[in-house]
Amino acid sequence: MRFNDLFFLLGLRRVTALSALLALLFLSACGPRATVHPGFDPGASRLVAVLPLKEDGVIARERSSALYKELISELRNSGFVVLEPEVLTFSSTKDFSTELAGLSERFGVGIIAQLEVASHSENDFFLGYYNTLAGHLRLHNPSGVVTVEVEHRESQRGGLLFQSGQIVQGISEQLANSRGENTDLLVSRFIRTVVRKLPRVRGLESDIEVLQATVTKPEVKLLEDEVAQICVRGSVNSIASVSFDGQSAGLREVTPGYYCTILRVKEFVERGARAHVELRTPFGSSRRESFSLAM
Amino acid sequence: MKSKNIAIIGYLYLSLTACFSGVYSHTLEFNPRESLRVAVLPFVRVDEEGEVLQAESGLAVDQVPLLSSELADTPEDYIRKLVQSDLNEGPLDPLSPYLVDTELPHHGFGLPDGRFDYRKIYETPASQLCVHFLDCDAVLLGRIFKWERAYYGVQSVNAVGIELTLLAADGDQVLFSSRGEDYDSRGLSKGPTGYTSAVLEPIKGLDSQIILDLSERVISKMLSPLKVPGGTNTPKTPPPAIYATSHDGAGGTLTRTKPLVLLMYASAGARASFSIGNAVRSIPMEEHSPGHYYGEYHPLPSDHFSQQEVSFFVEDGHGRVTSRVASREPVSLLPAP
Repeated sequence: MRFNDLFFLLGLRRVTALSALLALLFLSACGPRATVHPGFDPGASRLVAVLPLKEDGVIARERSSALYKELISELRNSGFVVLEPEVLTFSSTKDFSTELAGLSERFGVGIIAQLEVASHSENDFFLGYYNTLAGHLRLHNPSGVVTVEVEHRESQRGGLLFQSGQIVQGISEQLANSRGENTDLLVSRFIRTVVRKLPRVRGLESDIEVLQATVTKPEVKLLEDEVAQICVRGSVNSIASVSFDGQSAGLREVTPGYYCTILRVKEFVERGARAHVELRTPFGSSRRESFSLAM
Repeated sequence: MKSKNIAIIGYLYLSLTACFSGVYSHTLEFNPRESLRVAVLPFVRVDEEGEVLQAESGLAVDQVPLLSSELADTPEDYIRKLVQSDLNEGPLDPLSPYLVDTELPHHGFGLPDGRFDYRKIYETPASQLCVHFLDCDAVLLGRIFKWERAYYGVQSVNAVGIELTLLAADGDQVLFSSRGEDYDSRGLSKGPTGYTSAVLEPIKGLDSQIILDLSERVISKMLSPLKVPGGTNTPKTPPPAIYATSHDGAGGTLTRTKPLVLLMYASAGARASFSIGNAVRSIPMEEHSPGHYYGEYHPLPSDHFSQQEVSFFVEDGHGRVTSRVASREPVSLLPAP
């Protein structure tokens, strides 16, 4: 082989090695992929309902629950106004579009979000670990049409195997992984990344109104010697409760915006319990009104 | 000679790690089981004297090319979001960030360029903010006094220092305060395995993901006293128990002419309640004698439900709840004529 041919081959190998290194760097830096469909309206309301996770058993229930809560938190942090999960009624067996339209009609939501977990793995090799979480976050309009889709795969590795240059760090990471701390970070990083990729929604001026709960002074009517009916008026579709020294009792919505309950109050009256009613709107804001039980 | 070298290296290592260990302290002056509505105000950076620094608009978390990724948030915004997420998991009731961020400028706490007037926010009493427009029971202030990444050749150090203060709307009393300062280093203190790693690892330690993960750990530790019922004292006693339950809804169909009577035998001194499916929530029960609880369900004219289970609950002073579904058949209440 001539010296020039050898030199050329060595040069080619250096270029190939450099390309491989660059490719590895680019691949490891691959982030989420967001697709904004033509139906997306940046001026839509920022009221969001988050449907239960779609995961088909690929993730453990406690992880799925953590993912769901983290998604709601991050959407709130990003300026969306999120419907309280407690009031969300959604049936996966019924027609999807009809269910979404029902949510929009009842609560005025402009966006319905759903996270689908495509895969989840936690691999502990004793000397190292490799955890992954992949999925799609989809936003639908009230008609059920997908307007935004964000796809992402988050991975996390560590331990001595992957931190071969830092012994103490490798051991520390391995111990944290065995305590489950790394999976919490994986979940929060995944959610933060996908939510950050969502396009900005300007929202409507009326969006703030759902966060302004109203409640009147309660009406207390003695029905029998120890039993009283307590009623209060306020925002419709809300969760109302009355509290005596921190112990709560739920009120039922008798007619839109009118909430009542009938309770035995003798014990609370005898000990002079501090009483207040609280109304919590479907979007989580609340208002309280104190009152006296003295009769 | 060899043992002397090992001792020197060991001493240097311990010195380095001692310099970079976290310091946390907190005070807790209320029962965290109390569901306070908390407004988490915009967080601020402070200087060494504790003076609020007006944030630069558009300043992102530091980016080191090829090593770290850029974020759209300032450190103050990022840590505020971590705190919001953490509080959502506990008994406190944080207000919607959208509500806080929209109402503050509307009530004179914004600057003409759209930024918050941080100095004015932090100088205004909590009572004024909560009573006049936020409708909250307390405000949470956050001050970031340290956010640094330093490179020393053989070591790089990420440092985060945060102070959180929860002020009551009623009288501006400090209900909770927490101060955390922690570090995460790469390089000599983490045991490099060779000359190459001794050079490369400190550089890799400049990845911004490291300081973000460190912040998350710091916030989690700082807010841990708020998550444990009753504060930091984990109870060693067993949780409350339910021994027996009963109700007089014979046949499963309730009447409107008399109340449904419910009885429970459970741990004494607890808060007891019952529910009927999702239709009737949390009706309190009275403790007539130690451990013996009595409750009544009086139907409202509008109440009606079908085949709902009756559930009983007891909660002790540490916030631990035990529940049991009544063993009798589900109950129904027909609509009023």
